[in-house]
Amino acid sequence: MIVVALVSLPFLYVLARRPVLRRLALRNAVRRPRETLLVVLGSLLGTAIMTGSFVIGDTFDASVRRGAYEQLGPVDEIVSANGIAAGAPVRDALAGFRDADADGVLPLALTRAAIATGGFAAPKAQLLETDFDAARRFGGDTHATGISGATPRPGEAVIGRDLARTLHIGAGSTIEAFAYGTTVKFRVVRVLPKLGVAGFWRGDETRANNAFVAPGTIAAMSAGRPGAPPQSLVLVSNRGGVEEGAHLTDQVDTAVRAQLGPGRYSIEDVKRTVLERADRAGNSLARLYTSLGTFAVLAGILLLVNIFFMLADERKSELGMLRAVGLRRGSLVGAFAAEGWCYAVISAIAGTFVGLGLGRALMAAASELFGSRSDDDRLTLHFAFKWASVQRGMVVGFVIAIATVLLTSIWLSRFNIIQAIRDISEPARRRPRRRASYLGLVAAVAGLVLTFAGVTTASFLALMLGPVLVLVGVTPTIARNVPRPIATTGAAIAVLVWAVAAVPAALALGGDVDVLLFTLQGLVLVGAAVVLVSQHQEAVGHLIGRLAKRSLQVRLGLAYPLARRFRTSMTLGMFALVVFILVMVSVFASMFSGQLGNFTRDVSGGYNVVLDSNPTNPVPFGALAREPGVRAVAPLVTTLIDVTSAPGLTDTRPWEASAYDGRFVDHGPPALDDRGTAPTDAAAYRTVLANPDLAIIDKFFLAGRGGPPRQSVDIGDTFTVVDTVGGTRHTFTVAAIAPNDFVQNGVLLGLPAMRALAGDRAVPSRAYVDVADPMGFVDHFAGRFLPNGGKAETLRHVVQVQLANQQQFFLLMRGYLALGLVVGVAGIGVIMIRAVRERRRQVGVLRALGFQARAVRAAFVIESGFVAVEGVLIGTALALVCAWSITLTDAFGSDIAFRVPIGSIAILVVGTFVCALAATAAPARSASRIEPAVALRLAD
Amino acid sequence: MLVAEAVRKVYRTGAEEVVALHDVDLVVHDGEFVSVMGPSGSGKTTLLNCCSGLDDIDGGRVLLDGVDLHALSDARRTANRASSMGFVFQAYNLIPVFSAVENVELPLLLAGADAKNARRRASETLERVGLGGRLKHRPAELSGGEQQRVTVARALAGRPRVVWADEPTGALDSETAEHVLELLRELHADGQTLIVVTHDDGVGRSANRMIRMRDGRIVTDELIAGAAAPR
Repeated sequence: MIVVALVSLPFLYVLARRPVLRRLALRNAVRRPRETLLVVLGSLLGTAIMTGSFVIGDTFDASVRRGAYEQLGPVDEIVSANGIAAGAPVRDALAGFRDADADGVLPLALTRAAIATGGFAAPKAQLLETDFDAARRFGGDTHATGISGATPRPGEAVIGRDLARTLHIGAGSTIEAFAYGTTVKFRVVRVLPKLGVAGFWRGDETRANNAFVAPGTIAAMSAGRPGAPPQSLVLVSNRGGVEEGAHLTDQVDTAVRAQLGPGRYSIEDVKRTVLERADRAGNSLARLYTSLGTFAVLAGILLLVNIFFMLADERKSELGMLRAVGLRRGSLVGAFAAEGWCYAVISAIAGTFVGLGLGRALMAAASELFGSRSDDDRLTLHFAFKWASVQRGMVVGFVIAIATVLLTSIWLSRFNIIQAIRDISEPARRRPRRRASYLGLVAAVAGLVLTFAGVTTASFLALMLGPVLVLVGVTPTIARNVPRPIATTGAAIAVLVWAVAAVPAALALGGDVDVLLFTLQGLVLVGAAVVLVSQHQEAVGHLIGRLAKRSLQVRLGLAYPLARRFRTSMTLGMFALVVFILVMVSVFASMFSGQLGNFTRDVSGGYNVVLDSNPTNPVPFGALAREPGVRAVAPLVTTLIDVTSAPGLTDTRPWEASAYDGRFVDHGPPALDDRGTAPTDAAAYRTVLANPDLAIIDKFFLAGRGGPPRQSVDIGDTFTVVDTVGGTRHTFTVAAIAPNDFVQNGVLLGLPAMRALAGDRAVPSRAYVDVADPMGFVDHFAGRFLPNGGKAETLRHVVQVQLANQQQFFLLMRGYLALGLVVGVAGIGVIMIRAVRERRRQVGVLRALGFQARAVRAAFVIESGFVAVEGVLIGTALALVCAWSITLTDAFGSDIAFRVPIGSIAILVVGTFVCALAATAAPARSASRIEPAVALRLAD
Repeated sequence: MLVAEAVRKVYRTGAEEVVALHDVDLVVHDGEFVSVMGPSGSGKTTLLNCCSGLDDIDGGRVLLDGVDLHALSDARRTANRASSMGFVFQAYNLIPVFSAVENVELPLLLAGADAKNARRRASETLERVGLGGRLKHRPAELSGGEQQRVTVARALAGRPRVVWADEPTGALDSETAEHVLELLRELHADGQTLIVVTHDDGVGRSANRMIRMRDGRIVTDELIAGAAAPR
């Protein structure tokens, strides 16, 4: 808000201390309320889109952050040991733990189980044991723990809300828990809310199927039986509330380690990890939406510039008179800008509310879309926003609007007084001024420096902008020596070529691929294309005129856009920008959705089904392999690790890890994108299997949400991981890279490496299976292996589900970007309304000369249709070229093939065209109703 | 022949009504050069607008060669204007995005001439008004006098039955105004029917018949001695 106040100071000064300028500004602002409303609408789009993007980020942040309340509550750190026996010394050592920064510890035992009742089952559930009195006291805030009542007695279970919903049960029901080859029945005595300790969940899933049982139950179930041992945990609560306590994590972590000394345990800073994940998710989404929203914001800016130019054109004579009677150019800028400031303030406030509504609507749509997923890890969206974000959106929107207004005002104030008074157009300069040439050369030198920096640092931003600046900078100098159209055309073509080539060039130099990259590329491409087309509008118009057999309506319809190139280029740019990004997203959506076969082939290798089971009671893979129709079974161990260091990683990141043995490789492992020095994919897998220091990662390793994979870990790089239960630490070297990770295996290790890392928890619970009848196998699997928590899916279905989620995301994105289309369509409506007003007298003359009313209407419709079609074609063509050039690189994986979604693009193109015509219908009708005598009388 | 019978025009602004024409009768024969004079607000331009069919009337009728203009639909009346009338306005009212020749050929194209012929005739007409070298210039690139000559050329190009001119010299300096006036005289000499609204006495006296108006009524209608008689 301080920024808004500071930026406003000069305008407030003008309004307060310069009465003449104030009168001019305010009276012009209220002179035509409907048009003022249009200007405000044009200006508020920037604020609305920015605020909307930030609110989307806030919502995701808050939704992930909510997990800290629901699944952790007072829990800030978890001290884990593998097995009941190994947990005892840890529990004892921390029993009397006192630290100024911690306010309590809570011992807890936990194991994975499958729980079922009646016709419902929760294959992925937890059995937990803790003392309920201690749990309630834990952290000092009873309500934050979610725990109530007494500790369950033998045979009793207190279940969490999620489990109650999954099984459709309540207090009094009976449940069966399956683990370690045993089945135990429990009577449900209470249902706890999903909150704090009651919602405590060990894993990435958002659903917490918890059943608290009597102390000693887990030990009795697991004693002497195979399966991943139970986990002994001590939960630690830091001083302060649910979120505030995370700030003390480093101190408490150190104190706990000091108390425990060396040993086989792990300390996870879970709260901080969740909060950091929330920040990452929020920032990443906000960044993605603001980056892509830039296209709509720019379209809004172009609309604003256009409207201001029209306003200035309309007031040309009076502005000339004002200058003639002694108003200085600076004062004129002041009056114009002060008027614009009024619009900017109103639009910033209105835009903030529109942005909030936009974010709310989008998140409601997202909830609908994501709500259709039944995964355990579905993120429930809760609309939320921070006042800081709202203020940020308002400030950014206000500054954009005021900067546009100010620069446009300065530009508009540079007119010839006599020509303005006589309402004569200023002739275009044949050659650029010497000053423009010098300034251009300065820009060219800056571009050279930027290019050099881009090459040496592999910065995409510098690499894209540097040569563009050079080309744009030298154009005025060239145009002083060769005809201007030739110089401009040459520069525009060169910029276009470079903008397409820059992405592969940046990637070849090892540059980072980011959403910003595509945003920048799109903006440069559209800018250059609009300049190029505008330069050759006459030829385009001539061609269309010939095709239309010199129809008078067509000639008149084209005459204005061809004659007013600047205005036309603004409108063209507006359309091209929004269509570009919409087509781009559509093409990418289509390219991904069309890759089902390729992706399935990549992730499948020689298998067609992946199955998961409970590591405490895994599916008997040996017996399964002998069943008829089963051609191969390759068991995998999966576990959760913490990646503590890796290139580009600044925090600790929880990640999946899976381990395979020779069987996995023998039957054909999943494809690799980069197998390093290995001659074949299988050889790479065997090398990793043989060497416990090697690992296979995928292209999305440690990546956040949105955009292309940001791969900062490469072949030969090392990264360190910690077992989240036993605390064993190991450093791996990347030997190969897989193209994707649809199955969510995470880091792939050889089985010996996993055993060294996880000890006796390295129990195979996942398997890749090759069966003769995959669908039949999958259909019967869950029922057959219910006690094992068995769940099987065809690999094709796994890919299909994730691609469907991706498509939903793209759909949402397109919905958001369609806002830009609203800007374009509304913009052309606004421009045509103003055009009708501006040409009232000319329409009157045409009508007097014998131009039919319907011909006038047709001319206006042709005019807007022409600009809309040109803009749509430019945007579509550039998006296709851009997407094609990106697929030449393997930025999104080498599997992605270029594909044109003809149906979507046709709908988009035709829809945009029809909407543009619809937006013109009203102004065109009003133009056709202009009475010639009235128009001529009023004008004269 | 143009006949106006009891033409009445009322302007309404809210509840207030202003009668701009009080049952005006007028007959203009082919080849006549009629000037309509009078002070501001006397109804000169309204008479032009109503008699040319640019504006609706509230009473009476206007017949051009026997056709009641105001009984025609808007489309037919527009077509009639395209084929039978030419207009010259004080403010030129050229289409700024069209070149001189494109402006002049506009009424020809509207009347259904083919593009080639229209361009040829437009060029000839511009040459006739002394602008043969300025065919491709846009209005902004022409002087006021040149623009008015383009307007005259536009009015003439379609060889209309009647040319209406509203203060054709009002925005011009005396020398340029004299050139335009000379042009109008030449047209009249060629048999063109001209009706010129003006408050310039010089222009008014160039006609062969002068009508004076006051408060929406024709107060005098006289032939000017020495002027050429209508054919």
